[in-house]
Amino acid sequence: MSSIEERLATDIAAVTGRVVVGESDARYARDAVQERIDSRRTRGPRHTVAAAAAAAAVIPVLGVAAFQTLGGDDGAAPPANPGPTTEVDVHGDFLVGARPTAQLINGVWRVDNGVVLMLFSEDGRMRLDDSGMLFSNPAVTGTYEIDGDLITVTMDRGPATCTGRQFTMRASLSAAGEMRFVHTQPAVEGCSPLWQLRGVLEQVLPTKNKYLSGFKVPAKGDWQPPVGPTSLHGDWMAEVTDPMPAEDGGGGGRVLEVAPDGRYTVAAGSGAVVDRGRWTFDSSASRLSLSSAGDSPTCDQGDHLLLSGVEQLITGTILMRATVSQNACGEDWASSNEWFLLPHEGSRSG
Amino acid sequence: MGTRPAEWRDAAMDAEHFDVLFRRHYAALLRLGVVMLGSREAAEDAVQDAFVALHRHWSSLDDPEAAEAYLRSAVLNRCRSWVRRQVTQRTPRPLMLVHEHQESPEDTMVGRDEVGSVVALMRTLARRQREVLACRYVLELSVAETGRLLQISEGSVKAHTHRGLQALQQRIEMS
Repeated sequence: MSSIEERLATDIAAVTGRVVVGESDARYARDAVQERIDSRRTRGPRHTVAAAAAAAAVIPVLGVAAFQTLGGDDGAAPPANPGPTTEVDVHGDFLVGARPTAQLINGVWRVDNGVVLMLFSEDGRMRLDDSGMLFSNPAVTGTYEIDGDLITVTMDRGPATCTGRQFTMRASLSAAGEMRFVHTQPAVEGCSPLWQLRGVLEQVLPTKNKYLSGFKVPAKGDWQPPVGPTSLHGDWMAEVTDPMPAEDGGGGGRVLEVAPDGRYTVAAGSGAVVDRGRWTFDSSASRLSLSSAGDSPTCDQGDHLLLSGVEQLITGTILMRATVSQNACGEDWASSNEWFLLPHEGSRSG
Repeated sequence: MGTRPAEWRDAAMDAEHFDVLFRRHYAALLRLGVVMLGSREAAEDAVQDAFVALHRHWSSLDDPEAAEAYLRSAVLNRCRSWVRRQVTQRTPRPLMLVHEHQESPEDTMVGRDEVGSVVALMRTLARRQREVLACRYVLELSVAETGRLLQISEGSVKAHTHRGLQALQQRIEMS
């Protein structure tokens, strides 16, 4: 062991040695964890009310005239017309841009610097996931309604106690491919992985977000074969090489989802599924094989897409590249050979 | 892709089992969090959150032995997120981590030769380097175990270890 290793090890031992976890510390921590797990069953309504109060977007500010008469020493009667109140929208500076519409929010979105993906369909359906299984096994599905700048989601799939529950957020389309949101009624804890009070969503499909559409997979780096099939799991966004013209609204892009249960899904456009089937990975040859299922929208059953020489690079983002050695379906989306992982819970870049 | 045995697939995350996992791993994970964040409160929050996440994702684990790796990964993820949240100004860079170095309150009070000074410098390393060093020297994982946890090759583990220690040495000399 080198001297720097010894110094590091000694210092770590000294720091960690100070971290004493007594019986009461452990019990307190365990109770805190259990309370959060149980909160969806017992604390839900109170939590929702409390959270809604905390997330109140409007703070009433009394007009000066009214303020001067309240509790005044002179005992004078308050004026008949105390003056207008002025409401301050504490999120007004954040929620800039256009109000949401079904057309504008139609597509797949990711939480900026987060692990949650959301899909809004124009038919009023939505889904939400944080495990890289937005298409195959999302954490939450439901319907949404828009009223002004409010989007209300009613869940119809997820944890059993969450069916029928709602969460509401204000939203604005602040830039092309960017949506900002503020929860006015967060989901009951445990019902939705979207826990932030407020945040920014980047549009993955169609790829209108300038950062995502401009993301380029580097040619150089420590590219290595995947360590195993599990490192392929997740939602991979193809590098956008053929963006739609700006005059047509921009966009393009596609997502390949590789699910742990052996299924894959390819989505394009505004999140429509264009292919689905089964995948296998040959570690010895570093070859990923996608075989279309009978219910694939665009390919015939058994059509193979073979991706050879699969390599990954981790730079803070997990990147993947391969050579398309067989494309039986022949669709354009199948020509993608460079992707980056949309971070999910448990992924190294999440 | 592993196939989970029927009894495991059907098993609920019962309280007793969860208790066992908690008591077995909590302290070590807390120490990992303290090293990564320099704050016990932040570390407690990250570790408790990791256990809640484990409870939620229990059914997706391949086998019980994966729980420990899941927890370690979840704690590291939350440490990463915590560091990011401390940054007050940033240029949005999707999918890429932005500048992460943020001194913890404890760090600012640590003198050069004081206990914790080397650990404080470790927190200023690039994310991957500090995570590899944490795995090797806090969790005391082997190269192979570190690679599996962080899903990088053994060659990368060695490279990050070497560069991380080199960078640490330089920081000690400069401080």
